[in-house]
Amino acid sequence: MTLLAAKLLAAKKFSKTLSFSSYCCFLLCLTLISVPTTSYSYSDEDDEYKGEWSSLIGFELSAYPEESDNSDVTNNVSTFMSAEYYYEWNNGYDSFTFAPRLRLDQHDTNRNQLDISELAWIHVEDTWEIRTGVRQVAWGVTLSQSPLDIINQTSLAEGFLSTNSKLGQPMVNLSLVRDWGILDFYVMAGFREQILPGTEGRPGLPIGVDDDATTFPFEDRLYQGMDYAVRWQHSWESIEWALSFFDGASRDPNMNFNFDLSDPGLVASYYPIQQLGVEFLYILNGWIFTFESALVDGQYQRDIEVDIYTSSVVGLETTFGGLLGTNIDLILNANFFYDERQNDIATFFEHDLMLAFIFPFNDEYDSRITLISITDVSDDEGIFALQAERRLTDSWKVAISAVYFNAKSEDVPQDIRDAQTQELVNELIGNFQLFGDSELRQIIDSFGTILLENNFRFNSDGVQDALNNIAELQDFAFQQPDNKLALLESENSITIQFTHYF
Amino acid sequence: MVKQMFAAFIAVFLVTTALAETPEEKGYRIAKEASNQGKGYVDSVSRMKMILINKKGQETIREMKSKDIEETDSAGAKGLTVFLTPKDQKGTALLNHAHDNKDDDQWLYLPALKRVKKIASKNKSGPFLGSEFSFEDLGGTNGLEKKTYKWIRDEVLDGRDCYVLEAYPKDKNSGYTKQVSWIDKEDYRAYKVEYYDRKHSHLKTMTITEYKKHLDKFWRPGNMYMENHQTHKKTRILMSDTKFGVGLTDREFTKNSLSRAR
Repeated sequence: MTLLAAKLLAAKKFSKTLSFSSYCCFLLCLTLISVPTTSYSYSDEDDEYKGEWSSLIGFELSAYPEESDNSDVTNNVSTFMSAEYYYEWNNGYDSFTFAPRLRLDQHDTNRNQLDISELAWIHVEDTWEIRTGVRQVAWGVTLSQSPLDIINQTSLAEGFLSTNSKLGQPMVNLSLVRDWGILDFYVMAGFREQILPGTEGRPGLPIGVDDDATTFPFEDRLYQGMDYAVRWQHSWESIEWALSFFDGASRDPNMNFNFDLSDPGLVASYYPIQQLGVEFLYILNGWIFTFESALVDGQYQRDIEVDIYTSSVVGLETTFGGLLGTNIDLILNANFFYDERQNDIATFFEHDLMLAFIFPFNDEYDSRITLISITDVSDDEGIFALQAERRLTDSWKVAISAVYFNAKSEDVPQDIRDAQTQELVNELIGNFQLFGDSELRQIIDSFGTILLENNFRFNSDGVQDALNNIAELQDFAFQQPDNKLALLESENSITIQFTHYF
Repeated sequence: MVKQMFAAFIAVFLVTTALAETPEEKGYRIAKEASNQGKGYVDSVSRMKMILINKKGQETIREMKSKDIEETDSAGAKGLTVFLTPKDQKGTALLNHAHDNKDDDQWLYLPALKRVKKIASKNKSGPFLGSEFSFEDLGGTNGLEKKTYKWIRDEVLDGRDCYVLEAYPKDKNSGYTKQVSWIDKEDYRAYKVEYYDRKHSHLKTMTITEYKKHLDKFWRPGNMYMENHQTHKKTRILMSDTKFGVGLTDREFTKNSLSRAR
């Protein structure tokens, strides 16, 4: 749910296939690992080998009361499927999991995705385990939007009601289980690009991503496409903590304009970063206090390196049992997000408070109602959502969600618009200069001047198109810092989801 | 003279209290004996079928399997439960590290998120998965010291000589003020438990049947039937495939094992 904010800020077609060279390295790693086979005494014949399938199929119907700036779609159908095959042997000391999933969307081709969430073999010994293959790993103590949960890339083109938007990550993960805690080492290969919605979907993006232009500025580095991470977690009494370090490609791409007015698009670049993560959780008298912070070095924003920064979340959760003598509980969850990059970041979590009121009914249908509000503490912008779910039969479940965006919709004053346009034009000129094409530069230069002098009023269609593109770009890249939700103003929606479990 | 009388009085007092225990002492002794009877099983695995019956008599079934390891000198009791049905909950798992003198440590594995979440175990009185059992009711034999006891009377229940025992939870977060148990004199097995809520009214009654002896030593119930007198809903728990001494180790009760529990 809370990912939706991040879902909308850049656009991208199907994720590219895994880079071939890094995949080779990865396969090499697999062969290098030799695992002793041990037999264990406790067993029953019927427990010896187990293989089982489980799967689900779901339908999601969405309605949008308003058309958006770039889409006249007001109803949408999305279908999703996922399956899991699990096989264990050696009394569960070895297991294999295969979990593919598929989503098909009526209007947005970017939302058509096939992903392998898991394809992994896990081998367990007494004090360590090794997990090899495509997997999903969750770091962090914040369930909704953890700033340090970096192992898996995310798809920002999932449905509002989707609980998991992670893309499978190929890796080798050695996990040591000792008295001093759990220590995990990760070697990852096969970088996954972020999946973003297209321009034609709801919610969609004003400008699409130019897939072919994606860059990996670290490609000449020694570890080409390989990411490394380590995490140590431990607990004492009611305190849990973890320290983690990640060295590899940022999962959060640097986005910039392709400087092509005829076919405007965004260019994603995945820069190498180092991230230090701290997690902390403390339980006292039924209150759960959480804190996590990521210290990130090497991140880029619009092609400019960002100073080393922190992104943190403080959380508090408690449960009030049996409201008004019923079996209904109230789980109150509050999270405060703070990102040092402030308004420069590509999500809405720079200084925002998220409040969730969750009402589990504790009935035989596992009914549950959730109210969520995410508000920017510096202005009145916010996202409000209501979700309700319950099981209908043994194998059917229904969920309904309504999302409302409270955007700050006041118009940007003309002088600020002009100043931003000038800035944009200058940037365009500056970038075309790079090509050393003086003729093109002159055109752009005069174009910019005309643009400003005539205050956006043109009769020629071609020029008007270009201007519209600039205006969209302006909305996108040069928004008022406290007006980030303007993009989503018309994306209020109601979604009903039916899921069938096999 | 006065001094001698006083000394004699003290002596008589000491002797009588030593010989004739108070109802509280007797209650504690019975509870301790019942608790001791279950001890020494080392570890166990079992499957559990929970049948939720609503007012109209409609049934919902939840199945789970669990394993647990007994308390040792160096470590407390630990348990791990994996949910098998309903299908939308499949793979959800709960890890419990029990403590005598403080709240248990509990972690939940959420398969949709592939995430282990530490949860606050304080809310014990709420219903367990929509059933008429609460977390507290399923706490097992752990936590003898979490209640105080009083022997009330002896009574014959279904042809068995039983002690009738009252237990009063010390924890203010308990859903009960009182639990009345019928415990048979021969093997210290509970056959019936009545639960009284915070308002001291009779909330639920659990009837326990189908006791089975394992390893020629340990009695375990096969059928626990809980009836809520206030909502008229019922839950039946059927235990099956119980095995003892399967060789589990502490390593099977870590966050790592929780995340791959099936």
